[in-house]
Amino acid sequence: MELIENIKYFILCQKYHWKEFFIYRLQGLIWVIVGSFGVIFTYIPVTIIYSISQGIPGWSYFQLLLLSNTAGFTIGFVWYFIVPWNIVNGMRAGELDKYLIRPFGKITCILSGYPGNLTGIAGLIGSLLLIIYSLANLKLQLLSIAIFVFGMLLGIAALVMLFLLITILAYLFMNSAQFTNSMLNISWSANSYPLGIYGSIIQLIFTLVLPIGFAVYYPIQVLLGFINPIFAIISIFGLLVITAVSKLGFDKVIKSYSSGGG
Amino acid sequence: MNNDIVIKVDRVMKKYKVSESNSKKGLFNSFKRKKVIKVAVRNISLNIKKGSIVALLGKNGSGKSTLIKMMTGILYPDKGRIIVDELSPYNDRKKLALKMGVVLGAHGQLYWNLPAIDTFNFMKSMYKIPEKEFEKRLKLYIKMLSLKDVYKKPVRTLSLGEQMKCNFVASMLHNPKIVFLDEPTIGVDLPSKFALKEAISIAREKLGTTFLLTTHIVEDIEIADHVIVINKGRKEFDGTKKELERIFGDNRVVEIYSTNLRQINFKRYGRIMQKTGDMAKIEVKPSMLKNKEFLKMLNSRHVFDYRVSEPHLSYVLSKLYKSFDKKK
Amino acid sequence: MNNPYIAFFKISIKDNIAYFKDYLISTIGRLLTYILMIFVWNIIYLGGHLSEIGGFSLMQIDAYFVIGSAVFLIIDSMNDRILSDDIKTGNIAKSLIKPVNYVYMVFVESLADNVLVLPPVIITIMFVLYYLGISTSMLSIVTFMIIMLIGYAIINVIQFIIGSLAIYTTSAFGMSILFMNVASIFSGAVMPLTFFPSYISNITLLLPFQMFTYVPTSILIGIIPSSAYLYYILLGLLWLFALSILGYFLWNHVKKKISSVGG
Repeated sequence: MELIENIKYFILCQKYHWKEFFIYRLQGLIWVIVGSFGVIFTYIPVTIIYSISQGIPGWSYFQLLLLSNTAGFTIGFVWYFIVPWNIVNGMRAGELDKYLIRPFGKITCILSGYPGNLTGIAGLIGSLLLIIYSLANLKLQLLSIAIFVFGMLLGIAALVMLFLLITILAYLFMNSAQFTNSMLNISWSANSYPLGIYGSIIQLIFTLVLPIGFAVYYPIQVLLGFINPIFAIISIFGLLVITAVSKLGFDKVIKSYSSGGG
Repeated sequence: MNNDIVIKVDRVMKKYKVSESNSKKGLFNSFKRKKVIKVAVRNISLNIKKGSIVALLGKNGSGKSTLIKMMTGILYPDKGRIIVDELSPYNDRKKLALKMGVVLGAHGQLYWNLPAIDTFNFMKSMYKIPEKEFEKRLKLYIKMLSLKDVYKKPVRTLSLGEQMKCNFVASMLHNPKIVFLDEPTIGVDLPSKFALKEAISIAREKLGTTFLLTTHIVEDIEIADHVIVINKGRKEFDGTKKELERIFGDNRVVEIYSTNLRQINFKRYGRIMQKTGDMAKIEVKPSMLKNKEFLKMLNSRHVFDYRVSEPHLSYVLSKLYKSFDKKK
Repeated sequence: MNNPYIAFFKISIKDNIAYFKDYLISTIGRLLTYILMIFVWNIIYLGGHLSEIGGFSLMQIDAYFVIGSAVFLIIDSMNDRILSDDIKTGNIAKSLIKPVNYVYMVFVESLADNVLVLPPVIITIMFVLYYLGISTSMLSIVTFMIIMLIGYAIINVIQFIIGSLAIYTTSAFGMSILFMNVASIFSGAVMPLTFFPSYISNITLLLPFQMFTYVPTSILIGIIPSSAYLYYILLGLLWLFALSILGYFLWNHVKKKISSVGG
C-alpha cells in the first residue's frame, strides 16, 4: 500500500539523517545535554506554581503537569517534523526540487528531505517521561489512557499536516518562515495551560483557527472526566477534518510553487 | 506517438508571478513590491528520441530550467502538455521518478558529511535494487569513473570533480531510462569531465539511456548528438551539431602564419578575429576559399603556413546568441 | 564620517528593515507568549484568593510580565546566528581580512537589531507603569538602565561564545536552543526568581541570567530595595568581566583554527 511505502521511505531517510547528525561527536553530546535540560523546562514551571499557590482552579498538580507536557510533546513532535526555516529555504532556493523527484508522495518527500529538528527531539523525551509520570499518579482507567494515546498520535499527524500547509502558505503569501515558527511557539505556550482561562475569544481561536485544542485540551479534559466523553468523538472527528482539509489545501497550494525560476 | 520518442513536449507555456523589488529609497518603500507576471516558457514543442544525448542550451533566465522542471513533474504547465516515457510527469510523478535519474549540481543528492557509499546504499534501499545487481553495477561504475579511493571518503572532503562523478553514479544505480543533468561540469576539472562523458556514452550504448544535459559550457555540447537552444522562453534551435554549424557557422576560420603580417590587408578577405605575433585568424565566407586573390595571398612568400578549419562551437554559439539580441 | 562601524550600523539597519517583517512577526509572537502568562497568573491569584506570592502582588506580577518581556526583547540579540552563519558560509575568512575588528562588527550588527525595538518598548514601559500607578524614582530608573546594559553585554558575550563553538559542530542551533531554554527560566522570564524554592533561588541569584529579566524589572517595579542596587551592579560587572575573558581566549583559538583550515 502506498502509505506503507511512504512510511518506509521516511524511516530510511531518518536513518541517514541521524547517521549524518552523529558524525560530529560534540553534537551527540549536546543532544544528550539538551535532552536532560528539557525535563527541567517542562517540569519546573508547573511544580513551582503548585508549591506556592493552589494553582489553576479545578486542576490538580498532576492534571496540569499532564496537560502541560502533552502540549509540549505534541507540538514539540510537530516541530520535529517541520522546521519552517529548512522548508522555506528549500523552496526559495529551489533546493526542494531534488527531493520532489523521488518516487514518493510530495508530502512525504518534503517531510523526509529535511532532517527536522534532531536536537529538539532530545527534549521531547523529558516530556514523555513526565506524561507517564503524571498518568501514573492520576489513577485512570487503562482504556481511557489507550484512547488518549491514540488521540495524541492522531493529533500529531493532523497538526503536522496543518503546519506543513501553514508553512507553505506563509512562504507563498508572506515570504516568511518566521511566521510559522511564531505560530508554533504561541500554540505551545498557550496550550500548556487550560484554554478556558484565556476567555472565550482566545479559546475559540485555538479551537477553530489554530485547532490545537482538539489535539490537547479537549482530549485531556475527556480523559480527566471534566467533560462528556462525546467530546472525544468530536475531537477525533475534528482532527480527521483538519488532516483532510490540510491535505486538500496542500495539493492545491503546491501547484503554485514555482521554485527559483530561470 | 512514435515508439522512438521518449520525451514529447507539445506547445507548452508556463508563467510565474515575480515580485520586483522597488528600487526607490526610503524606509517604507521596501514594503511595496510590484508583482509582475513573467512568462518563463512560451509555446515550446520538441521531441527527444530514445537513447539520444541532448544538450539543452540557454542563458540563465531563458526558461530551460523551467522546462526541465516540467519534464520531471515538479512544475505544472499552464498550457500544452508533456509526455515522458508515455507518462504525464506531473500526474504520474511517482511512477516516472522510478525511471528517472537526476544529477543536480556538483554534490546534488549526496549526503554531505557521509561517504558516497552511504548515499549509494541509500539509493539501493530507496529504489529497491536487488543486492547482486547493486554490487555488479557499483563495481562497474567505480571502475569506469576511477572512484576506488574516493567513494569511501566523506563527500565534503572530495574535489568538485569527484563529487560530480559520485553524484552521477548515485543517479544511475537504478538504471533509469532518462537522466537529466543540470550544469554538471561547472567548476569540474578536465579529467573528470572526460570521464563523465565517457560514462554517458557507454551508458547510452549499453543501456539505451536517454540523457538530457542543460549547460552553457560549450565543451559539454561535444558529447551531444542533438542540440536545443532556448532563449527568452522560446525554442530558437533544435537540431544536430552539424546543422547548427551549417546555419550559423557556414564560414571558415583561416589561421595565417606570416613573419610580415602588416604587409597583408586581411580586411579585404574577411573579418579579423585575432592577430598576435606572427599569426592572424580571420573568418571568411566559404566562397572566399575559391577566390583567386585570396589563394594567391596564401601562397605568397609572405605566408609560411596556413590552416583552414571549421569555426569552434563556442564561436558558433556566440553568433547564435548575437542573432537573438538582434531580433528583439 | 569615515568610521566603518557607523557605516556598518547604518547598513545593518537597512538590512533589518528589509527583513523587518520577519523581525516584527517574531517580536509580536514573543510578546504574545508573555501576555498569555498574565492570564495564567491572574487566574492563579484570583482562584486562590491570594493577595501576594513571593513578594509580588497581582498588580506587580502583571507589571513584571509586561515590562519583563519588553526588557528581554531589548537585550536579546542575534549574535550567535550571525557568527555561526558566517563560519558556515566561509564569510568569516573574508571578514577577518578586512581592517576592522570583526568582533566589534558582530556586536554592531546585533545592536542594529535592538535599536529598532527601543522606541515602542520604552513607550510601553512608561505606559504600564503609569497605568498601574507604580511610582519610580530617578535612582531606580538609572539603575534599571545600567543593569539592562550589563545584561545586554552579557547576553551578547554568551551568544558570541556559542557562535564561536559553531566551528566544532555543524551549527550552533542546538546549543542556542539549550541556552535559550536555560536562560529563560533562570532569567526570570517564566516567573520571578523569588518564586523558586530557596535552594534553587539561592543559586539563580548568583548566576548572570537574572540580569536579563528579573533584576532590571524588579528594580523598576520596586521589588528590589535600593540598598541592593550596588550589589547587583557589581555582580553583573563581575560576570561580564569573567565571560569576556573566556570569550577572548575562545575567539583567539577560533581565529587560529579558521586560518589553519583555510576557509
